[in-house]
Amino acid sequence: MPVIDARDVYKTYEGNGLPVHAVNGISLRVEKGEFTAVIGPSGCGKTTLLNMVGGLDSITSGEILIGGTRIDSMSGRQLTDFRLHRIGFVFQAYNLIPVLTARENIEFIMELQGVEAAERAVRSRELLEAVGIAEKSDIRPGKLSGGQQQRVAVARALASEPEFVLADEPTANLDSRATAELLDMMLEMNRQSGITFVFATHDQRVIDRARRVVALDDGKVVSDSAAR
Amino acid sequence: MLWHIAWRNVWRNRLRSLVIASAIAFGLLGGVFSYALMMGLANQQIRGTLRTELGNFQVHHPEYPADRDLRYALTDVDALVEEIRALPGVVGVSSRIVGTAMVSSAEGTAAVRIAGVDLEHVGEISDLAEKLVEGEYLSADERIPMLMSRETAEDLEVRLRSRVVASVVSPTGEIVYGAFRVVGLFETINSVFDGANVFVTREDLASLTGFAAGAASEVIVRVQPRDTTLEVAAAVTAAHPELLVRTWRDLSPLLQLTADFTGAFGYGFLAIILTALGFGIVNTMLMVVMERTREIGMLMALGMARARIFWMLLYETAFLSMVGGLAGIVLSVAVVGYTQRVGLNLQAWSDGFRAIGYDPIVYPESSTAFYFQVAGMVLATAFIAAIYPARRALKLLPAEAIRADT
Repeated sequence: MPVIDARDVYKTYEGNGLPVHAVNGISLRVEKGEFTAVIGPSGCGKTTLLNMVGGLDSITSGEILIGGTRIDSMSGRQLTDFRLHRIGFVFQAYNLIPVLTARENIEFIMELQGVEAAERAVRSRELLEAVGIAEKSDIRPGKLSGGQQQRVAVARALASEPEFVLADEPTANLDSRATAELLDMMLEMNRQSGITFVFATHDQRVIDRARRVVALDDGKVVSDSAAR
Repeated sequence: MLWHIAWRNVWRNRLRSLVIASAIAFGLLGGVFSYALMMGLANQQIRGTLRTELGNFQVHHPEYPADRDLRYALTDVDALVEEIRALPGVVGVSSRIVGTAMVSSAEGTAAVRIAGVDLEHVGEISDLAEKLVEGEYLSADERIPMLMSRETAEDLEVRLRSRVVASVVSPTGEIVYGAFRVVGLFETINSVFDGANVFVTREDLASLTGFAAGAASEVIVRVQPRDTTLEVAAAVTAAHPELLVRTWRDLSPLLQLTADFTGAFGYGFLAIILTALGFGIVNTMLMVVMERTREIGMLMALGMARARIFWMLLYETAFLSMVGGLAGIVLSVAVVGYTQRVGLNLQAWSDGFRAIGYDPIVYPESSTAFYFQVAGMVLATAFIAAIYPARRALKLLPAEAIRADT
């Protein structure tokens, strides 16, 4: 069963009285353990697609199944719960909670899930070690470099033990070295633990390392390396 | 962790939080001090009037209040006084003969209420002896002594030891005349009272008017604590249904109004200040929501339920208000406590204060319970003020909020 199964998905906005098809009939299946990059020029619909797959945005028509469960007909409350337990997010601007330390940012998600304090402490330590910044656990995001913040964001995304991680332009604000280190880390996690990553990106460094590349243009899939 | 985040969020913008907390603190100080000042004024007036003039309740012949005629007297009044004195809560009882009189000197005439007091017990129900500014209190050693206010003495252009003539309507309806010697001048906080009353001994007034032995116009009773007045008055009514028993509230509607409305007015004033502060809090929290749109969107995206986001913002507002509220209450306790100890001297407006029965030295009053109520009001204001900004936050769509510039 695919982790993500988007079937003939459309997303249409009203723009100046005219319909704008941000996503125009995309079908996409992502299997467990994939390391996939969705690429394309700005405005091609990659972020919209990720938002819909992540339950952040509604679809106009079609179906989206996550682990076999349809999410396009869920209520807002169900989607919130679904995101909390089954999807990890990494954002371009890190989006950590600035008043919490690195460790607290990771534990926060677990607390929302109702994980006990002792278990939260163990898991957050393991995750910080896994992303290589255990020594920064008690430092707030404002005092971490961009690369370190994004590592915390990855650890936070994994804290809920999700079925997959959606990463929207995760390297856009990072320099080459931090990008390389972050991607190496994610690839290692993918290889060792089988964690599924789906990126929306136009960063060539991500594209070069992705095992599967799905190219969009005008809201449609124009190429998919898995199909070749 | 929600509390934790909310508390730390309060201090993300220290300057802004301190400004709004200071506004709350000083607003509260203004409201609490105004309330304490009004309560001090009102209670001083009530205490003063009760202690000098009215007592907690009075007993009359049922017909007496209609025209305050000396014909309607209480008989065997000394026995009644002793009976009332035995009731629990009673700390003072005394009888008086009260009539209307014209007091004349060579230079003028004044229409007054003349009260013949029982020298043995009058100190139990009136502190007029402490209000003397010249001369001595009434005593059996003096012949036909009279007390009048300094104000009346000035109007009549009389001095201590001067003789004045009082014309009084007797119980039989005749006008009788009697000479009295001014032995003391008093001055209370109430210039209306001062201008309208003179005091002589019960024996002298009875002798002048032909009042029956053992009779009096009224019995004045003091009880403690003040809130047992109704209970004790009811006991007297039950024992003597043929008599008219009226509490200070019945005797002085203006005083009743003061007692009932001062507190309400103080709370109303405080509520207006808190409402104004509430708008300040709404403004601050709206700015917070606007500034943190992306962060709120991120929290939604990560799976934080909207209800939790709502509560997080509510806690944040509550913390901010509690910081200001606590500072305001501490300031208020200090300022009210200090002025309560030393008094607030408003002598510059002394004449105006005395004209309406207030002491120009005001001792603001408040209670611990009041401060708890204020704390509750601040918290309620904070929660109400937080609702609109929090609802605005909940209307954000995560996909759009994450892309916000802020």
